[in-house]
Amino acid sequence: MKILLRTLIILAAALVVVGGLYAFAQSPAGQAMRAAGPGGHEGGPPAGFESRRFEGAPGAGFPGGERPGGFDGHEGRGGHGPSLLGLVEVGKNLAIVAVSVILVALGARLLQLGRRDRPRRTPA
Amino acid sequence: MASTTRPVNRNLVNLLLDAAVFVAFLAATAPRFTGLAIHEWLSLAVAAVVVTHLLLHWSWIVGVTRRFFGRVTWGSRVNYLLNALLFVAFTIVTFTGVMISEVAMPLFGVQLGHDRLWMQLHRLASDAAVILIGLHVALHWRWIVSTTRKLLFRAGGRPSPRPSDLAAPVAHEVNR
Repeated sequence: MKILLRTLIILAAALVVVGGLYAFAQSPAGQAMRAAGPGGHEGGPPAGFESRRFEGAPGAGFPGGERPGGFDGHEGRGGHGPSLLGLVEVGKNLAIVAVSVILVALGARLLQLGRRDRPRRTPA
Repeated sequence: MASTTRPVNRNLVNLLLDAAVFVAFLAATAPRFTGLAIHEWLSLAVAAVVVTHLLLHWSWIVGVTRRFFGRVTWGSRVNYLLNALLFVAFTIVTFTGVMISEVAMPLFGVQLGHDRLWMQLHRLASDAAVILIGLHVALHWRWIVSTTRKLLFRAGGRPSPRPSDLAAPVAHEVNR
């Protein structure tokens, strides 16, 4: 019961964020962002994604009215397969995390050194 | 018959869950690597694990929220604010991801019209989340290293730590 209540609190907090997001989407700033966005049509796949959206009825355009083997109706919906080239993206994100760790560690070390070098005030 | 259940090693649970969600997050933020279908399903799984992560650290969240303007160290305040931003970023990424879903949502029969704004926000929030995750890991680096060391030593034949030593790490941060 306690876990359920806590989960609902977390989801309620998320709902507040979503509400703010919707308010932003309706605002002039959101409209401007929508207009300035890349892509010529409403939406479209993310960068690097090649849309393979099937138009018309399922199977339309294929001989015998059936899709070739391997298409179950979901992967063909603008999806794309995994690629090892995407490891570059993983490496980039991992590098960002590593740089953050190093910067914070260096900052903490400098702060520590600064505190150590500061002369201690003796009580009057 | 006496019960033989061992106390749950909270540190181990936290470390394994956090490591798993970190690896899953890294994979999910690279849709070209995973493919769209895995990207979507993995991201939904990450969202569920993030909720579990919050539930596991509930006492810390409540503790700092109550004393945010009172007796709390600046370290805890910074950590709290960073976590709040991370929560906002994750919520935006998950919500916009659902809105632009091309595999997971259509499977449930939900067809949402594509909106460029959701796509843009999805990318922006995802980039922000990567940086925030980096800072989150950085702030907990000492705990990650010390807990990993402790667990490795224990696996190497050292005696198990007392249950009192296995309390959630962040629970102490409130009073630090």
